[in-house]
Amino acid sequence: MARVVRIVSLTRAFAVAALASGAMLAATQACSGSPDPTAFTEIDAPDFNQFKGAGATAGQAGVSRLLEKRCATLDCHGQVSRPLRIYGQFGLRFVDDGGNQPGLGATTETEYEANYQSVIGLQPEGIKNVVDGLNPPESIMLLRKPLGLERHKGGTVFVTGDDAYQCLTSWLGRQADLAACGRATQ
Amino acid sequence: MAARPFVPASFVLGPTLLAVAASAACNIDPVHTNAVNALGPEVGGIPQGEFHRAGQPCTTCHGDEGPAKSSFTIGGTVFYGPANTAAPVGVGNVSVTLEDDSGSQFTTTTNCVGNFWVSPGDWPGHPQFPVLVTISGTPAGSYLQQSMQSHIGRAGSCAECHQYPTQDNYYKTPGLVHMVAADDPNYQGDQTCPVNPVPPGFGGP
Repeated sequence: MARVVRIVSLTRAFAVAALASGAMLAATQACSGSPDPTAFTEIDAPDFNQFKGAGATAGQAGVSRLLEKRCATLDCHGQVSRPLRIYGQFGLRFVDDGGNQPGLGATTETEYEANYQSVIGLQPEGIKNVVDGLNPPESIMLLRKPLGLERHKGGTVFVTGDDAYQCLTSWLGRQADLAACGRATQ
Repeated sequence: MAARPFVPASFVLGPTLLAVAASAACNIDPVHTNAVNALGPEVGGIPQGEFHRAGQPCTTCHGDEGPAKSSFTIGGTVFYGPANTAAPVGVGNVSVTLEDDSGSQFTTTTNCVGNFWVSPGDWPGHPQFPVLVTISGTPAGSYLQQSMQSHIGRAGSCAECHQYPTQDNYYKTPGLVHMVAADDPNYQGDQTCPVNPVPPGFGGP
């Protein structure tokens, strides 16, 4: 009786091993194609000049300024370990970029560019779909996290319709409301 | 069929329960353990208590994960100045006013080495981050006040961000919490303090 059980178990083990090998082989085949070095994802991204607040008048600000003031303290998104890493005058500074310390020296061009890439690079296709009007702004983490629509360690920091919301959504809609951005940083 | 040897349940359960108990007693989070270890041992001549570890991140130990017995929601050290002075002097009797996201305010005062802390029972249900901070006092005869340029996002310890600036960390720290921007060699702190208000372990970059 015991011998029969052993045979049955060996047969089952054999079958499991064969299935696993087959699955591994299939997975290997599926991933074995050579990567195409010319492939790229085209991003219809929101405007960089509006992001950095070029041309902003008194009381106005760019989108970057909003993120710097509201999100980028050194204990939150002003940390190098963050996926959405934000540099700026009042928080993390770009290393070897003039030797600025937090709190000293205005946000630099390098920092604006790094912030822009951080924001766009968080969900490139997601941002594109919002900019192209295919999805609402609330479909991307840039809005979902601060609005509290998905888990955010910093909690809910923006409310639908407030100046910060208006700042981000207008920028994603191709015409940033720099006045709303300015009010949101006060 | 060979009979299985009899193993009393207690032989298995005993060591398992011991292992579970040991895990519960110790902190098994390696990140937290490393953070605690990085603070180093107590300095000779400064006993554990309200005057110890000035300038270090209080809530690393005084947080939910311990190992300190008391818990703080916010804690730190106020120095005279400036942010990168070679020998920072802790300032006593400085008011530290905190205002949280709900608009609730709480004020506490530094002791003679500059240490301050807020226990959960001091400000029940608060702080609700973000928090704004202002420090004020008359350490050298004239009234001084400083407010943080940004808010605190969620850190309980000032020293998580406010560290002694060096060539390695200058880009991510505004320096020590301080009252004045210029050094004053005449300021010696509270000379009646049981502990030297110039904490050990600081130095130039």
